Amino acid sequence: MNMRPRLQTLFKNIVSLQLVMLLSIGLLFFIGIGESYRVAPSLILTNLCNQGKLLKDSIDTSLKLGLPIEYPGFQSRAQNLAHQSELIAHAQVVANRAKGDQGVFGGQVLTCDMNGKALLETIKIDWMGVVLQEVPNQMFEIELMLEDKIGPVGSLNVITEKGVFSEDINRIFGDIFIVVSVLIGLVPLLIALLQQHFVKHQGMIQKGLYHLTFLAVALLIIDYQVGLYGNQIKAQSQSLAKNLTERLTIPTQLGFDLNSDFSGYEVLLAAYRAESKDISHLYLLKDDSILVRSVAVEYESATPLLNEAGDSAHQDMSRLTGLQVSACRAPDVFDHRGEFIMNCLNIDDSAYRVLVQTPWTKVYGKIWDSSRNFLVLFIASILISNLFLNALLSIQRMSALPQKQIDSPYQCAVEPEQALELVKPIFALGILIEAINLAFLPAYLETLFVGSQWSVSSVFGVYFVCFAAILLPAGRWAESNKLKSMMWISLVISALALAGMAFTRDPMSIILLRGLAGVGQGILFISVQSYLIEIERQNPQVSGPRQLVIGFNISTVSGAAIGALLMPMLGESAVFILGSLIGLICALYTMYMIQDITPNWSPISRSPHKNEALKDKVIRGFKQHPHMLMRRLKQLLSDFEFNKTIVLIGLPTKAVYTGILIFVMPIFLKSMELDTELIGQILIFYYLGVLLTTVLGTQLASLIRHPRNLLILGVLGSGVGMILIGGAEWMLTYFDNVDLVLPHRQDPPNVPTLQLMSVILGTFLLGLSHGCIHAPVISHITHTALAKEVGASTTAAFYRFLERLGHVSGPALAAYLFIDTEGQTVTQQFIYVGSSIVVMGGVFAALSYSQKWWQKKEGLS
Amino acid sequence: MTLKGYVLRCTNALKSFTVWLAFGVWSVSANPASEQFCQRLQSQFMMQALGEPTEFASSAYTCEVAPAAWAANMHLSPNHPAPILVKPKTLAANSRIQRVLLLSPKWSKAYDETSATIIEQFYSRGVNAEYILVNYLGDQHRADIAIENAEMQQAELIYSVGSPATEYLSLIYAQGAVPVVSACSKDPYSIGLVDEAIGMSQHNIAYTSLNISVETQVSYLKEKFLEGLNKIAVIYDTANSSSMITQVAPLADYLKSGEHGIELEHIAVDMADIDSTLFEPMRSVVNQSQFVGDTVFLVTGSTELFNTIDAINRVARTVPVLSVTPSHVNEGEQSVFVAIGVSFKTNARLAADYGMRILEGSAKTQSLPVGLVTMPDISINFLRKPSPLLKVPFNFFEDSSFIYDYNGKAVRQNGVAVRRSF
Repeated sequence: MNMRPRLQTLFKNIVSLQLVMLLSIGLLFFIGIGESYRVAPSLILTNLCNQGKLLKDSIDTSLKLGLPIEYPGFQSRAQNLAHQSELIAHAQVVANRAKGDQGVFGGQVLTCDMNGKALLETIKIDWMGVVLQEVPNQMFEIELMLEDKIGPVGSLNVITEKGVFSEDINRIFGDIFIVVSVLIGLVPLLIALLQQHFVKHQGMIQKGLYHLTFLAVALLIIDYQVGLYGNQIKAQSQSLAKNLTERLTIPTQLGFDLNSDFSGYEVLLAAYRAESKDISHLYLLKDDSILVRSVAVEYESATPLLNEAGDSAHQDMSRLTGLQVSACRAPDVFDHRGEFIMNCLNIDDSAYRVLVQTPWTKVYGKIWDSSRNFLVLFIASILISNLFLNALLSIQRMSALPQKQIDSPYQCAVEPEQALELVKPIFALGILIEAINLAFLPAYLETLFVGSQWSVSSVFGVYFVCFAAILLPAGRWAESNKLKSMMWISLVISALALAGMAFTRDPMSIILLRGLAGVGQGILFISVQSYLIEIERQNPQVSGPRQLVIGFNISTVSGAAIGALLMPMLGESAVFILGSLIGLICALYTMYMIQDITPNWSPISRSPHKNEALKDKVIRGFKQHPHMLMRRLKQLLSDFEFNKTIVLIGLPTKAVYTGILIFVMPIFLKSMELDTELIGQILIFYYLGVLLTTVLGTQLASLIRHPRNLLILGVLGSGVGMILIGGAEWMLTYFDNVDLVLPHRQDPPNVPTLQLMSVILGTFLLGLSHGCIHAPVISHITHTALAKEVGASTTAAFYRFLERLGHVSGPALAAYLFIDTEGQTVTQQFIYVGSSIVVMGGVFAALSYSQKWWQKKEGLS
Repeated sequence: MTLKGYVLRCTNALKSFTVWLAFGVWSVSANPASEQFCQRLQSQFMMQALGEPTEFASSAYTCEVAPAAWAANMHLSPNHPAPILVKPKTLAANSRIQRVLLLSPKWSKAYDETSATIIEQFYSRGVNAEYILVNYLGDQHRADIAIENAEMQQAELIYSVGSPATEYLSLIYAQGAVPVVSACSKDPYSIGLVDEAIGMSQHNIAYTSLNISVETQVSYLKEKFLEGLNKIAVIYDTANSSSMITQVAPLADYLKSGEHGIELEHIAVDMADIDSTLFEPMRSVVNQSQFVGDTVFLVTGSTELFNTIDAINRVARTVPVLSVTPSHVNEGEQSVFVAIGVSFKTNARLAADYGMRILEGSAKTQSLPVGLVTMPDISINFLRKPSPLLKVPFNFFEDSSFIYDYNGKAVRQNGVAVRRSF
């Protein structure tokens, strides 16, 4: 083989892989920065506020004692705070009269109750700082209200150091940026070299090294984040310890003895623990003896009790453990041994000390809470990047093979497996551009539709109606035209609809644009579905609908997670434009990379109207199609198998998806006092369940033997899943009542945790079960006798259309059944509806098996 | 106009000029009372700013004799001070200046402190105002003139500083044109100025109270300090009807139901016979006490009674002697152990807050509830701690404006730690 083309191919492969790695690892890097900016600044803000509040409390006390706000001592204390803190550049006490709307220093004012998202909208991400490692000029001001006995008299204004929120993140990601750049540059080179030597395992080497690099970068980011978050969380506990110590220092400085002169420390310590839930133990010590303690309930059994007089019931128990003693021997130092962070501070020069213990589990828990989002995003980006990688592999394989000769009209220009890998990113990105709006679109529209005659729900209604309305015409189009054209046209429509959203705030225009988006998505759905059905027809090993379900769920999970992250960083309009750009790039990709699988075979090529003019085609279409549609509909609706499947499987499944999962579950989970992020993460279990069963579809189908059995399993499983979601509360209440009769039972279960576990399990089971239905049901319906008669695409399109009635009716039915007059979820309904679904599954099974039995019997006779 | 007319006009003008000139010359040189008034007030401003009066520091206010229009028809003499005008040095002359009259009935340090605090609070909150202070020296006619002049000069708010001023204005000016806020005045409920069931005046005067509510008082004593408290022995001078009305009667009324688990013992003192009316009943109470903290003596506000405080402390032995008057806690032995009440300054702050709300238009005198301080001022003298077993709640310590150590020396005054050089 000539060296030049070989080198060219090698170079192309390296560059293309570098491009894919740049996109996917770049996405991960981008997500890492975004997530760090969402979490770390709020921890830093809490620290800043804790430090500020320490001084604020002290000034408030003095103000309540009668000192005027102008007292010069306040300013010097504020300056001391700035001098001692690494986070604070300047602090000043400002009387009410000197205040305006802006901060005293003209900077942006932050408040201590800002959550991560609100904070991120104010501080903005310093992208250039990551690369250039420059300290940004941004300074912020925190205003803490000062009050005397009567009311507010002024504020303590704390001005942050420059780049207080971004400096650490920039430094960390600056390091990671270098590592990532090196990896992106070298790993593809390494892959290419190894592929030269191990020709048989080219795919494995590429995928293996690619995923290894991806994982290494993810672990590096997580490791840095853990360090970043951990330090801030520990500093919070230290701030509180310092605050308490300062308060207790005052009487000792005035010559009083803490033990013999004062009482009421129990109340004081309990107030601190109530303020900071992370602190498990709080001690006031004299030498190595415990004077007063406040211990969290869960640690009480392991902590020695004091008798009523406040003395230790047992002499030994009033003394500290070895770890506590060693923590206090080296004051101001965190003890990293044992299960607690111990922070022991001396009170002035007295024999008294304050010991604060924070369990490491709390720190890990907080780090987990903070890292959980990143993990979800990591999964999302790995799913998306995998699609790109597979597409790249297919392109490489295509370019490596000699041009295929097409000998027969039934032969395809591209192998079905390759076609599948090439088409997957189109559907995934097509869905993704819509899914990135999921997290913020309703709230965004709420703000735009204030005072409008249109409701926000009408936007979603129009979208779904347009989506449903285009399905049947699109189904017909799919059988009479090239799917490639359908795909790129649908992508262009979707992209234009999204771009329009970025440039208008008019409700009517938005409704029209969403309608257009529904049309685009409907055409895309049908075109990809038809394409996949065709692939399945040519290669029965490939389940087309299964790929459709996988693509849908990957994109929904990834898009929703990435969109939720992007919106606070970029704003709504930028996200719409980004979605539009992805759509247009995807359309270009479709034009250049996708080939119609049957270029020489399609109904249109056999049609007597093949050479008809376009105008005549349209006129004939308008005349014939209504009749054709009615005829087909009659055929379908008179078919027992079709009706049985749609009524007992399709409609309930889709109604459960939109009604229960999308509509009721967020309200139900909110009633369990879970935060929005956790609710989102629980719902992701559904999509993961769907993905799992869909990915394992082939193995499951062979295990279960007949797709019908998979459907039965899916319906029964979804019923049981719902019973698990709603039943936990009822079951636990029941067992609690039983507990009254069985007083000997030890350690009652933690009810909220058990309920939560049951809900997660139920949601996951619901996803697993729906995964058994979504794809197999299309295979089932397109393999019926009717499908052979009217066409697989038309049958599938009709089925999808009728199935949409379940989508549309789901929320209304769920609202009627699940929501009471006070807006609360009626939990028992999960059990009733779940049981009804199980009954439906039973009826479906009974009808199917009896039909089979009759057929067998007739065959025998 | 005729020549006679011109002459008449010129004569009148000359007369007026002479009067104004005479007033001006007199006011700057010949009215030591006004000068003294300004000095007293400036001294208070210094206290507010620095914690203790300083001769050399200058305050943020100017003080001078008010323009003649404020003294029109008012008798002025070396003993009868002219109204004085206090202005912040940073007063914005180009903005609208609001005028506030502070009317007090006699010379009093408490009234000086109240007036200075009100002015300081207005300044602190950025109110662009000047203040005219009139001491009417118990002469109600002089008070009437001051109010008339305030109306003429378009004053926007009047403060009645002191109970006599508040009671007088309630009598004559309840339907007046300029809104009034009371300061440094006794509880308006106890002296019958406001119906307790209504809780507001429904007329032109908004009241504040120098007493804490009896609920707050008992809650601080029993729930926050002495959990085992079951008896309060209230000591009052039978000749001081004011303390009986505003302090003893409300407490007796509150505790009579018995639901608080506290018995009230009256020690009505005849100052002519303190052995049998004060010390004997006290000894009896002390003998009945089972443990430290089950009983307290509560001394009410009476100067004569307070003069015997040293003896009261001695007889009380391990029973704590408390008061609801912050001024009863002092340096040295002439002090009770703990006082829980309302200081003049805190009451003045509340009055200032009411006044500012009225000036802003966010509140009306008719509907403002009687201003009660819910977070009382606490003062502690550890020298008067009766038993080592008795401990002070840590939050009492933190909330105390005045603290005296075991030697009776001040370690905190006006909320500021006292630095000592040893």
